[in-house]
Amino acid sequence: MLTRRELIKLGLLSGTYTLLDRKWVFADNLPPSPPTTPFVMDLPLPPAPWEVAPFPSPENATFIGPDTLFFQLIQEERLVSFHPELPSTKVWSYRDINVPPGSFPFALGPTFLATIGQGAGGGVLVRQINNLPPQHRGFGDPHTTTHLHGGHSPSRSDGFPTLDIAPGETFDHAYPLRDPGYATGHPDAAERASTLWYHDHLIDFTGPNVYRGLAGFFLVFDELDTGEETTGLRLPSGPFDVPLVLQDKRFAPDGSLVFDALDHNGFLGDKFTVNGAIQPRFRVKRRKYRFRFLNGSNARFYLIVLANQNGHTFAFDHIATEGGLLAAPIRNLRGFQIAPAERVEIVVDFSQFQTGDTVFLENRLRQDDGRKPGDVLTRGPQILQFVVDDAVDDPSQVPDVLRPFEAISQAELNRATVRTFEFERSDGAWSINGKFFDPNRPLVSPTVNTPEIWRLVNGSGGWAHPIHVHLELMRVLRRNGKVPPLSERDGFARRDTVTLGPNDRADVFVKFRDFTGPFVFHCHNLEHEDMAMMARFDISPA
Amino acid sequence: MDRLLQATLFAVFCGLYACAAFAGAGPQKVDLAGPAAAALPSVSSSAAFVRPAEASAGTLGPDTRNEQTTIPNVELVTHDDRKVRLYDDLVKGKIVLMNFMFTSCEAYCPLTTANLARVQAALGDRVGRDVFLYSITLDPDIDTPEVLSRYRTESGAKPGWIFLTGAFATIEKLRRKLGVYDLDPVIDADKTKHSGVVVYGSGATDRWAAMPSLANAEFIAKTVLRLAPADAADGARPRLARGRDASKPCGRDAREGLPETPGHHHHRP
Repeated sequence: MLTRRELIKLGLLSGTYTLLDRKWVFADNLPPSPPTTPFVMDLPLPPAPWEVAPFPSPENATFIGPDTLFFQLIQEERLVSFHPELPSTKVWSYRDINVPPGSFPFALGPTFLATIGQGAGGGVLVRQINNLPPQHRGFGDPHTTTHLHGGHSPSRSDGFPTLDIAPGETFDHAYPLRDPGYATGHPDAAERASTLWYHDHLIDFTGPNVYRGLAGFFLVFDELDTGEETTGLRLPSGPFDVPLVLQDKRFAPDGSLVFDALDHNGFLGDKFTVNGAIQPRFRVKRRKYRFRFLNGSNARFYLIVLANQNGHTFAFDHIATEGGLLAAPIRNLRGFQIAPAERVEIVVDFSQFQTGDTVFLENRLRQDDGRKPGDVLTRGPQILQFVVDDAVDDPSQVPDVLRPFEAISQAELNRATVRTFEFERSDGAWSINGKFFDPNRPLVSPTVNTPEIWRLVNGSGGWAHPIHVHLELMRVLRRNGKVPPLSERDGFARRDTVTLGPNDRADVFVKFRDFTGPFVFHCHNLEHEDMAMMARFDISPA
Repeated sequence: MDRLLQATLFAVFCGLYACAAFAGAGPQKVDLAGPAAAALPSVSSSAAFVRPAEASAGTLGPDTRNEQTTIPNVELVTHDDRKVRLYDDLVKGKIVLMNFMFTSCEAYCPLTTANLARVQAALGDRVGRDVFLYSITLDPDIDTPEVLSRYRTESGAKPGWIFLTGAFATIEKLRRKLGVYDLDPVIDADKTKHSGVVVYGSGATDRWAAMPSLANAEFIAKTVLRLAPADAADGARPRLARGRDASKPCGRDAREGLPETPGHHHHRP
């Protein structure tokens, strides 16, 4: 084997791999997307689905009650526009069954707006109907399994990767949206996620299927986070509460999506889309807005700042993560990093600008391959333009206390079962504790309602891995032996995705309080996940 | 008694559950003609971006815009010394598994070859019929067809498992195109690091993915067979959903008794 020094001598480390024809070397060398004029397309905002009349779903009978809301989504191939200068693009996405085919022009699925269920009779039941083309040719697989990411859902409804719903089949998902721990008699009103998303989770094909468009928002409200500016915490609500999914994509001149199904490092696009539009614009009133960022990219990390044309940045309040509202807002933040699958919610006050001003979301994180993000840039691509309109009434606020909660007690930590999970590169594939994903065997089987400390260790050298655990939120206790930053620290924030940089180690507390059965945890770089960086865990009855 | 009953019920439930969740028996079937779509009233559409004629068909038809295939059509030589084109002769219309190895590799390749032999066994009589395994040497100077042929026999390969050699530059290009490389040039220069991945897919549908070559062999076989054409995998389709009256399209039913505005519990205008 050659040493690094020998390789440098050979010129292999200088610049690109000149010994080989460039177009063969990296997926990054796919042809570039056609040029598009930025900020000419309005930000798409997919509407909520309509309820349907209750239908029988015997498998989910225990989760259905008089207050359960029923929905039906059709998974379909459709043509949408990512940009007016590009021909229309075929995507796979979800459509509310109440919306006639051909009249849902969004790349994303509908945005669910749900309220936390009370007792056994609330929640949501979603029937997923797979109407994707069975004879599809090209990247992706028209078989699906739908995961409600960040949801606290029973095993059967969680979208296990090998569930495999074929075109022509349906599957019903029960989302009880209860206080976690309800079934064990220890509900926890303090622990509620707010910005969830649903997406495909098919074994080995999650990357291409999500890239093709199988994703949508699922927002959850409760008595604190009410969705109204006159009740509860009075956060910016309604049209001033805007979900934004960041996705990088690549287009052929004919408008079709370009993907490299054989790039296992992590796919990067060269166009920045928000809610399914390339570099859109969004008209805002001179008042406060809540923005719910979701990184829905396969492998790209972002560092988002709010900046004007000259690059001057403006401050905002950070109010929530995947685990819902923080205990208190982090004020005067000027930028945040967001890894794949993570959510960051901020409140921006546009009253600091004048009517007619433009400000931008700018990505100041360089990334050249799927391994990890690179340097922080002084200027980066502008991915969304805000056009500031006139002022309107603003009854909303960002109170000093959001959703306070106690950090896990020392007594609870003392009796926790400690497990270590090492995420490693293994001869071109990925492993957890030296094992590859096996859907038929759990890697671990925690007992229900028993405290656990999971030591998540990135032993894979120069790679970054956003680790997502299904079912329960994680509370980060230590990061690399130190107190974690506020945005993930127990007692302040909760996460469903904990990102490990190269050689990072995070100790997290997790307790699987009610639902039993198989679930998974995995890297949310979708190409790593598809290359087996995933483990099944079973919650066993007490 | 109670406990026994409980345990039995639990076991039965788990059995049913496992069946539903993992054996593919769980999904309900619906009419392929389109879930309720045809029965919906034709309301005025705001489909600025959609071509309704195409979209209403449920599927938009074959994509003729991007007809190129993912797998390059490079020239290789088989273990029985036949010149072949990878795509035309070995991939087109077939389900294939491809990995890289070399016969003098002592650490990792024997394990992966042994696991692929287990995959071959798990695939049964599909191997050589519509499923093929291709093991490509990274060391073509040593691994001549003759050497590969001997190694192949020792590995217990059946007729559908072909070993391949070729020009070094061609194989290196192919390896990179198939994504079997490391971004770290030091690791990439070590050819013992490239047998950990098996690329699999369907030449018929051009759907491709990869797995660790040491993943559970039964799992690899089952996952690969998912790519078999739908008509071969399940002749029973289409069928109707359980618990649904086929004479009442669910779309129209679903809309009855609904408020005029979407989702009365929703606050968004």
